Amino acid sequence: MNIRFFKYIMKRVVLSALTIIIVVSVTFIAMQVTPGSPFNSEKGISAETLATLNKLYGLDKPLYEQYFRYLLAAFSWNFGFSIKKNRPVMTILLEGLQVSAIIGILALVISIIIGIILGSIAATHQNKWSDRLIMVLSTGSVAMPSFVISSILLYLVCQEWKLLPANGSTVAGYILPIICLSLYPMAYITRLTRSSTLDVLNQDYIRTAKAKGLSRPKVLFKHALRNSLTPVITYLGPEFAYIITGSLVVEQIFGITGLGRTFTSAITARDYTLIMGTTVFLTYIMVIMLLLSDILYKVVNPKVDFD
Amino acid sequence: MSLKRNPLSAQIDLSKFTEVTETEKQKQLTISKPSSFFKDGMKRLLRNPVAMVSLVVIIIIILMAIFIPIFWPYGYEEQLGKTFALANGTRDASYNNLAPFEYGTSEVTRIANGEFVMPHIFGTDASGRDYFIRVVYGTRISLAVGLFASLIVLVIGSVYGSIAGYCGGKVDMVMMRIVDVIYSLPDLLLIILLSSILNENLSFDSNSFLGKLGTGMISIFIVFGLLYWVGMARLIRGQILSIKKEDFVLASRASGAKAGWIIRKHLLPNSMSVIIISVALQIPSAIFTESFLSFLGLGVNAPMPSLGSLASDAQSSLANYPYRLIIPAIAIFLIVLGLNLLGDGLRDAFDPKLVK
Repeated sequence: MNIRFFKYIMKRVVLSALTIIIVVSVTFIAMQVTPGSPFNSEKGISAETLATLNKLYGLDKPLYEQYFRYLLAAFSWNFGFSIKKNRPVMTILLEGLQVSAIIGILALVISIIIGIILGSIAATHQNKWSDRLIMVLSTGSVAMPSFVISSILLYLVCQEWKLLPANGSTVAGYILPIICLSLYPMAYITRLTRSSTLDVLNQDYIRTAKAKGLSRPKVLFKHALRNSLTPVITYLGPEFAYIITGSLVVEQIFGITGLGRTFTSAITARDYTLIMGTTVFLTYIMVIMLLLSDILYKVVNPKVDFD
Repeated sequence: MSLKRNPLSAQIDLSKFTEVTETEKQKQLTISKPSSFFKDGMKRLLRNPVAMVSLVVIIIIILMAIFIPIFWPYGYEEQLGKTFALANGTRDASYNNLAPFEYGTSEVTRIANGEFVMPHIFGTDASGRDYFIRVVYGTRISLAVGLFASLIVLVIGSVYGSIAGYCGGKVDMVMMRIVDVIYSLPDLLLIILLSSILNENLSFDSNSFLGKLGTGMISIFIVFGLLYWVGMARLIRGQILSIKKEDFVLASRASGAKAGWIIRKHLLPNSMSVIIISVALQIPSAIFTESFLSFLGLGVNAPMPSLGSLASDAQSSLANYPYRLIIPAIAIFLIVLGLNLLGDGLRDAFDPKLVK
């Protein structure tokens, strides 16, 4: 790790800050042009109370001042209080994150492990029935919207066969959401691993390793997979993004109160601080994950330049 | 005799040769037609059975989506209970929730009178609308959304990418940093945010096409135009960068060609295959995004159906009418799978890196 690496990281951090600023601006504009205010739904509210409320949340200030307050909040991680729930935005977000993170990380881990295993089985058994079956399944499962798979699984497993509770608040209730969330990335990783392993298996150094008389597993694990997994690492960033947004659907279907539901309910309630908090928070997660997967890629693959 | 020969001898064994026949001579004389890159690719594509089957399936689905609504006797928003109202003018409830190939009461009497009644292949929905025509219409909408969104991505992405790739240097660096920033925006969050704003702000004449389609669709287009083009831009830029180094571009520039000419005549045509492939793969992603939004209630405006909205509407009645979820789901499955496989086939056939 040298000065170039450091410069690269700094460049990425600056770009990430730019991303956050854009997200704050877009969200701010979006909230400004949307008709209705957080206090619209409260009936019989007097003009005085409304003025006090607006003052309390800084909604009476000029627009540029409000904008800079949000910007400052985004970088100081202090989003203030939720307008509707009367609790700190950060507390609400962390609660949501706890739930979303359990499902998301488990789905991530499962999809990576099973995806790599299936992908390398398919690659080492190229054009045999096991390869064909794995490819058909992984191609097919990418072509179904996740909410369709989720609702069919929910109906069959929970209502028809009564194998698992439909409620997402128990440990057993998390099993189906995790499966549903991991299906798409699993299929993608399987295809990715298969094609890159096939590429690597044709390389000269693999032939050398085989010629040395190494056993098949040794060739696969020590020589082939190490090199063929770099594309999988580059996919980790986008996969994380998928899991964040995909969990929105899964949370909706299985009735889990994670970050996704916090966001959709904040929009309908016009809870400005909570909307801003959620978008900025999720952008932070996304930017950090993209950066991490990029660094990981460069660490694993020394051939890549830092430019 | 050959056994006696020294195996390492370089002397030619004449017995292994035969004289050329007349037809073979003729074959050598005729010059075969020159084959272009496009023709070679098409040949490879035609030999790929998976891609060809997908192509046929997609063409059939497109033709059905275009032509069936023309002659089908029921409309997608036509409530049959109202069309065939009872004698006293009230709605005929027997048309609601018909099972596939079942008929309403007045239709049964018409059939008994020897009239031909178009069967309700997939039955009717809770408001007595023919489900088959709704699925066909939904396919039409989903395909149109997918195609239009990909076109937006294609135009913006290829213009942006080719400018960045062609100019290179500082311009390229700044343009690509912008792409990096957009790439890390949480796209679906912004779609949700935008479509909920647009739902409040935009209003169209409810009879116009855009009005019927609804603001959810328009926000999909806007978001695709704002965010989704970055992948295409990266792809085209990479392609342009590698073609730019070719000698024929240098020759063109040496003979005084302007930037626009080089981009139009040399760079874009040579990256055509990459563009076509990624458009084929972009359409499924747009169809997915649409179905996702419909699921969240931000998709097409009712009563206009899309495959996504049909599937998400069917969720609540999954226990009683599972086929109402399964039919649009299969339609989405066929379109997306077909386009994915066709895209893979196109890539195998046209990707210059794979051409041996």
